[in-house]
Amino acid sequence: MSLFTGPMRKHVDGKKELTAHTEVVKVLAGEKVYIPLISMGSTKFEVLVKEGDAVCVGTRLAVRNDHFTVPLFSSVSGTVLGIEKRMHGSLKLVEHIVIANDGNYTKKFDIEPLDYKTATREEIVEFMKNSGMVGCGGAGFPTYVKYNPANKIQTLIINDVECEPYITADYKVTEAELALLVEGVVAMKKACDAEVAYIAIKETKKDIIPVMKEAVANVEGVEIKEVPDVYPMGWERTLIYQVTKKRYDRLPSEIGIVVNNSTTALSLARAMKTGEPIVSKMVTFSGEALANPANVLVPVGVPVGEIIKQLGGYSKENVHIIAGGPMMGKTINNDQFVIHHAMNAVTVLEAKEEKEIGCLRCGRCNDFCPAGIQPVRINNAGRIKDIDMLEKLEVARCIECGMCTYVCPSHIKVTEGIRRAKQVLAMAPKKGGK
Amino acid sequence: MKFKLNPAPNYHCGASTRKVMLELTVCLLVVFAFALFYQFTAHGIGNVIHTLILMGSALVTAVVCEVLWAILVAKENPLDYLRDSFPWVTAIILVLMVPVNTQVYPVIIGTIFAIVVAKLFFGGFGTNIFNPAAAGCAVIFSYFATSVAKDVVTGATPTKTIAGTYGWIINQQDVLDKFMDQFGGMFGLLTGMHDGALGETCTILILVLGVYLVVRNIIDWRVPVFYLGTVFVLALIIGLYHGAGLWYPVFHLLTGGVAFGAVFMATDPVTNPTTRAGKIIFAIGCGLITVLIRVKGSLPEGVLYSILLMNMLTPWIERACVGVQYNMGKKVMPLLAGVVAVACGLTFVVSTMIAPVVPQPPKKPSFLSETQHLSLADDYSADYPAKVTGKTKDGSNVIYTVEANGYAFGHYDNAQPNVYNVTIDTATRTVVKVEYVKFSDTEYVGDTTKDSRFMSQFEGMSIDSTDATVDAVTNATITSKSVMSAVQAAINAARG
Repeated sequence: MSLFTGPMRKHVDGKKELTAHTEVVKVLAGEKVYIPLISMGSTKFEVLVKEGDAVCVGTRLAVRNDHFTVPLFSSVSGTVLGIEKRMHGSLKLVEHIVIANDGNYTKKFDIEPLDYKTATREEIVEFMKNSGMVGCGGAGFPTYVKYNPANKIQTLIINDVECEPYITADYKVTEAELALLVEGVVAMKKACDAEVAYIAIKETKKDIIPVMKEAVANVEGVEIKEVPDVYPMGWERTLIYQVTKKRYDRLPSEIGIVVNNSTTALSLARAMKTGEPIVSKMVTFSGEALANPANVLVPVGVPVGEIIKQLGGYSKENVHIIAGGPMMGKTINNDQFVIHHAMNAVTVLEAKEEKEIGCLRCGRCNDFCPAGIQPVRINNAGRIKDIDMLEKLEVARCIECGMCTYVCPSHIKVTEGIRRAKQVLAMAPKKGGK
Repeated sequence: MKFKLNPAPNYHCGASTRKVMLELTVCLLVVFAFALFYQFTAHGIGNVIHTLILMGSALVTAVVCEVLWAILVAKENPLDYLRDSFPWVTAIILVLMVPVNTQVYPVIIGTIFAIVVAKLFFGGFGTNIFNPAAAGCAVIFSYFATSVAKDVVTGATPTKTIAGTYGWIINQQDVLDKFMDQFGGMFGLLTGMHDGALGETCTILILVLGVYLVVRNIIDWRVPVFYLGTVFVLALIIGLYHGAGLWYPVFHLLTGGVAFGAVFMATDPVTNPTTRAGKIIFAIGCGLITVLIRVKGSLPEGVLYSILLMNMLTPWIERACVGVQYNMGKKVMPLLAGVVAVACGLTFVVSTMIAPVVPQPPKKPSFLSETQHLSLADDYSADYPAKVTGKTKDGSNVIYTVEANGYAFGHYDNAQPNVYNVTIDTATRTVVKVEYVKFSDTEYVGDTTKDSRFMSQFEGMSIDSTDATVDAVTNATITSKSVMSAVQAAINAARG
C-alpha cells in the first residue's frame, strides 16, 4: 500500500467457472463468412482478391497498408462474393470481404513455414509481419512492431493472465497446446533477443500451473510467473509493474520489455510450423444471458448470431451482447457482427438499468485506476470542457479499462465520461493555434 | 430479443452509495446509543428524553427541508430525492456535536442552515463545499451558545475546563491529578464517561467504529490517522516545551471532538480532496488548526472550525495534486514538507506564547484584616473625633461612655457618632471590655465590629501602653478606627 496511490487494481469476480471446465465446441462456418477489413481501428486496406476469385484456407485476401502492415487471410475455401459493409465488433460500419464457403476447408497457405531454431532474429520478425500476427488479447496490435531490432530488450513477458471476467479462451488454448505455446515463447524470445521470458498466469489457476512449470523445466530462460488475481493484471503496464516493479512513460521497450499474449505466441508457433496464419479462433461465449456458455473454436468471419444459435441461444429477453469481456468490450445492437482475428470473447449479459446518483467524490475511481490518473476529476472537467485541466490530468493515459465505472458506488458511467473528455480534448483548438 | 446498447464497462462491483451511507448511519447511531446510555447513567431519564427530542427534531427538520426543496425547487419525486440525498446523516452528526443542554430551537435552526444553506444552495448531495453538519453546528455555537435548556443537567467538560481554568497546558503533577480526577483520569476520558458534546466523548468507541469504516472501505484511513497524528505531534511539541508529560498529547486526542471529527467529519468525501495525497494535506491542516484554536484561540475547541477552514482550502489542495498519482509523491513532497514545517514552526511559536495557569483556590478573606493594624501609637482622633460623654464607677472598674465619629460622617446626611462603653480597670490599669451603646454606621458592614473576634482584642490592653495594636475588621476598617479612636479617648481619660 502506497501513501499517495491506491491499489491501482482490484479483484473482480471472474465468473471463469462458467466456461473453464466445459468442453470446447467446434463450430463450422455457414454458407458465407465475412472477413472484416479492420485492424486496430484502421480500415486502410489493399484488397488482393476480386469478385469470383477462388480462395483456400490461408489465401491472402488483403493487406493493411498504412504505417503498419497486416495481411488478412481467408478462413474457409470457396469463392469471393464481393465486399459488403457490416457492423463490426468495434461498433463501426466496416467493409467485409464476403466469401461463399464451399464447406471443404481446403488448405493452401500463402506463407512458408520457418524453423525459428535456424532463422535469424530479423527473419523471425519478418515472418511475424508476413503471417499477420496480431495481439490476440483483444486489441490486435501488430506483433512485429514490438520486435523492432532497434530496441534493446532484456525481458519478454508472455501474457497468459486473462484478467477480463468471463473469458477463458487463453486458458483453454494453453491447456490444449502447451508444447506449441512454449515453442512460440522461445521463438519470440529469440526475436527480441531477451535474456529471460516469463509466462505470467494468475496464481488462482492452480490446476494448470504445475503442468506449465513442468513444460518449461528444461527450457532455458523461460519461467512461469504467478501473478495475483486482480483486474487489470493483463494490462501491459500493470503486468510489467507486477513482474519487474518498473514503470515507463509510453512504451515498454523504453525499459527493455516486450509483452505479448499467449495465444499470439501459440499462433506464431503454429504458423512457423505449418504456414497456417490466424484463420480460426478460440472464443469464449459466456455470460448469464446465454443458455450454454462455452468456449468455441470457430473460423474467423463467422457471424456471432450463428454461433450463439448453435450453442442453444439466449436465455434472457433483454441483453447486452458484448464483443469482448464485460469490462472493455463494446455492446453491439445486433448479433450479426463477426468473429475477427484479434477477438477472444463474446459476453452476453442481462441488460439492467442502473440509476446514477450524485458523485460522492469518494475517490475510489482514483484509487483503483490502473493508469494512476484521476477519473473523477477528468469526468467533471470534461463536463465543463476545462481543456487546461484535462491536459494537466493527462487524460490520454486512460485505456478505458472500465475500472472507474466498475467501482463507482454512485453508479456513474465514469469511463464513458472519460471517453467524452478525450473527445473534448481532441476537438479543442491546439495551444498556440488559431 | 432486444440488444441494448450501453457504454463499457457492463460490469459492476456491487458497491452503492446507499449501502455506504447506510453503514455510516448505523455507526453514527451506535455513537448516539452510547450518548443515551451515558446521559441515563449520569443524569437520568430527563436527559435521555431531551436528547431524543433533539435528535427527533433535527431529523424531522432535515427531512422536511429536503422534501420541500424536492417539491418546490428540484421538482422531483420527494421520496426518490430523499433516498439519494441522505439528509439524516447530516442531522445525526449535528446532534452528536452539540452538548446535551442545547435547547431545541437552536438545533432546528442549525439543521435548517446545514441542509438548506450549506447543502442544497450549493447543489445538494455531492456538490456542497462545506461539511453541512459542521456549518450547522457553527451557527448553533455562534449564536445560541448561551441559551441552555434549564431543566437538563450537565457538568464540566474536559476541554472547557482545561481551556477556561488552566489555559490548555498543565505542567505540575498535583494540578494535573486534581484536574484529571474530575473526569476519571485517562481511562475515564477514553471510555467517555464524562460530560461533553453528546457524541464526542467515548473516544474508544469512536476509534473502533473508525477502524470498522476503514476496513469496510467507507473512509480512507489516511484522514483520521494523519489528523490524529498531527494533533498528537503538535501537542507533543507544546507539551515538551512546557515540560508536560506524554499525557498531554494523549489528552488532546481523547478530549473534545477530535476523535469524532477525525472519523466522522473530516472524512466526509464530498468536502475532501479526491486524491490520497490531497487527503493527507487536508488532514494535517485540520490537525494544525485544531491545536492552534485550542491553545491560542478564544474558543475552547477547534475541531469544527478546523474542518470548515480546510473545506475552504480543498479546491486549492486539489489544484496542487493534479496529474498521475504514482508520480504524485515527488510532486507533493515539497508541499507536504512545507505544510509540516509550517505546522511545527507555528506550534512552537505558539508554545512560547502560552503559559500554564495554576488556579489559586479563591481565598476567603479572613474576618480580621491581615494588613490593617490599628495602633495606640497612631492618633485616630483627627479623622474620627471622639469625646468622653459619661463616666460610671463600678468598684475598681470605670465605665467611660465615648462618642466617636465613624463611617457615617462624610457619607450620610445627619450623621451620628457611634457610642461605646469602654470599661477600664483602674487597679490593673487595663481595658476590661468595649461595647456598643449605639451603632450609627452602615448596617451589615460596620456593625461587624460588634463581633467578639474584634472587640476581644481590646481586653487586657494596658492603658500605659503606647504601641498596643488591634487588627481592623476586613471591609469595616473605618468603623474599626472609630472604635479605636473611642478606646484611645477612654484611655486618655483614665490616664488622667
